[in-house]
Amino acid sequence: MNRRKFCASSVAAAVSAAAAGHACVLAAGQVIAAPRMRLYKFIFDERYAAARAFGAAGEHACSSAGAAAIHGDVTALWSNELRREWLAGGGAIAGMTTARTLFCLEQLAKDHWMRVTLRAEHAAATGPVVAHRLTAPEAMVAPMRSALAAADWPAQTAGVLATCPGRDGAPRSTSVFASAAGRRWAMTHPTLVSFVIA
Amino acid sequence: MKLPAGVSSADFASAIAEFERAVGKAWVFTSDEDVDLYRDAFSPFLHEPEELVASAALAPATTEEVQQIVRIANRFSIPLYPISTGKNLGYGGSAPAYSGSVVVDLKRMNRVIEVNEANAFALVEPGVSYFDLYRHIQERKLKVWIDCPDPGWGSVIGNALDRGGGYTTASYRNHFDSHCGMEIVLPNGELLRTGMGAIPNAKTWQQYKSGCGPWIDGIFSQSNFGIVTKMGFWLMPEPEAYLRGTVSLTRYGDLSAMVETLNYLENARITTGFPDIASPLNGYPPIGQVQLWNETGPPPMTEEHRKLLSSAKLGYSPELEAYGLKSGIPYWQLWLSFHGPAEVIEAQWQATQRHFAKFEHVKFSVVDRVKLPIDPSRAASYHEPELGVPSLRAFSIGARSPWNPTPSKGHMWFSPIVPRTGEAIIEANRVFSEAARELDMPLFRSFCMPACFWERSFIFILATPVAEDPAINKRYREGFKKLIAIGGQQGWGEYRTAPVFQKSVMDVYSFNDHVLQRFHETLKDAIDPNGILSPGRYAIWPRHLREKQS
Repeated sequence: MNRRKFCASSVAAAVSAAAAGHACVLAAGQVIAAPRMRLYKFIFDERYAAARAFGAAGEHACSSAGAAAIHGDVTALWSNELRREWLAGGGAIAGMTTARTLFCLEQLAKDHWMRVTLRAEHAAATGPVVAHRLTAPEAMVAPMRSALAAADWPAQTAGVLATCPGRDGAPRSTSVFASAAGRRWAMTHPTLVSFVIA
Repeated sequence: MKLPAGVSSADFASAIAEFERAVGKAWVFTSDEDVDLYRDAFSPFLHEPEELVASAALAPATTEEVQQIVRIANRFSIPLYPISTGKNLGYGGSAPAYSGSVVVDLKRMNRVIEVNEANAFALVEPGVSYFDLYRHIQERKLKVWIDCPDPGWGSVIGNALDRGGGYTTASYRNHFDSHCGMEIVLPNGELLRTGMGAIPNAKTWQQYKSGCGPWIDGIFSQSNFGIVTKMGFWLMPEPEAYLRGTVSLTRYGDLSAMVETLNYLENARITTGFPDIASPLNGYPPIGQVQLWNETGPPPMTEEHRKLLSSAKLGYSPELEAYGLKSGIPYWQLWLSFHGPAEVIEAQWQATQRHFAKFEHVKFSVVDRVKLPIDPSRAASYHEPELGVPSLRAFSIGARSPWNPTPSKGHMWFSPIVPRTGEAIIEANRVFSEAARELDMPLFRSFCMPACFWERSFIFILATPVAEDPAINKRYREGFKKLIAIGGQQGWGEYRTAPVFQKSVMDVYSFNDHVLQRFHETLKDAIDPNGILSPGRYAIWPRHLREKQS
């Protein structure tokens, strides 16, 4: 199956899955709208508290996707899983990792004509403030801003990313804002980045 | 969409329609979103209009489709730029050397055609990455190793054609040297096979390199004379054991004799693994430990040590040397590796120690003594490429961390070749540190050690960062070009470079009024009269574009 045929069929599959009542659980028993892309996996860097919270929430947010922990290095995950999934034409992923890990995944995804469709950088600012820089399709800006303003923003982010549209060609915008929820997540040097690759 | 210069939109549209008929509409990419994927992820023209970009991309699946593409390109004068997996980051990546070119993305041509265990060779297509070849070998439990660069995501053919290198033994580390036989689509669409492959039904295509008559393989490396669609490589039989040891020396003045001893041992094939020279007293790690340092941080350094380093000249001061002696920190540390039967490599290690015993205060240490094959799950305990295992851990280098709080947006590799002597290490540091200081370039800010990828010479491989600020990138590009020229004045040339610097690098190779350049152009005019293949790659321009460039 080539890349182009897959894109068309995965949208169709997502729509029919929604029609069949497939859903993602956001948090505390809340059910949100069906995902608009087939999310294969949530990926998180287990070295960072915020990413661990993201991964835990991701596993609950979308019953069809699992979560995979990495320790900075994506070699095993990519060789053993992602590569096979992407060769088969599927495997959209959401993640929270370091920027360098995302860069590595982004370059590997290009081999399958996949790309980063949403990116949010989370950097420690002063005190408990976290600065977020979001590049996303317009439809995702409001839900992401709402998620990132929450005290448990890593978990909320996972839930929102599960609803991200795939490659719909919509224009993306970049916005920067801050939230006062950093201390709990020990945001120090690494700038973490959450993303969707589809 | 950026059209190729000199091509009308009508002709371009007609060419695209013909490309679609040749490879299938699904594999012709013209939307901005798709063509964006072929931008150089490390472009030194970040955010600038001069960034080299493609006009479209094609992804053929077979040699026959490549031939059709080339014939179409000739009819409509469309410049093409073939890439294998497009991972040549730091040396230009997937972006063309001539803006507006149509990228020919060969990654769908990803067959491992043959791996012959008994004769230890492989024949692959350009879309085969080191990971792909490694997996193929592991799945079939074949007892051969690959030699891969770091990271291992690149194309086996692509890396060899840009003359990259790896980390195992000398016979396999030089990737172009270890190839045997090629198949090429020429710019007129004809198919050529080199070496013994020029014999129909050849039986030794991957066993005997040069065939008969002129050995032309070299002209297809770092050039634009053809699109390589198959290439053979000699592989290392899986060694029985691996030993890695260190030789530590305490005096600055030991450097030259240490290099001479290493050279003898390498040239006599007493040590054949990747030699790695560190300077612990100067805080310079061996290449094999860099990713570990980036993951866990460099070893702690006392304030006294830091102060002594800051006042050292070309890595030396008597006080620094005395501090090293007192603290047990070696001035120089040579990491050597040995591959083979256990009894053989033990004997080689013993001989190595005997040759280094002449140095005062020398210390030897065995870091690893490993029976092979190791459990793949343990490969991460080592610098994997030295064991023929591809990895992506190199991406911890440059990652933001407490010891690297402002990582760059990418880098350009400055990689001059210098003589294999201790004197050359010091001289290169002197010349380039002075020049970098005057040019305000972030290179050679402290004493640097070269790498030993190649036998018989040293190479410095240093990263010039790509910044977010175009003004800084412009300054770095100009500084980089000046460093290339300064190296050339010393008789040192670059071994490989990104398209933005290819003219500057080739200008250094100016013997006899640039006769090499003129020879390349003569070949280009003969082989590719319409100038459709990778115009400008390594400063080889087709006639119709040549005058504009000079």
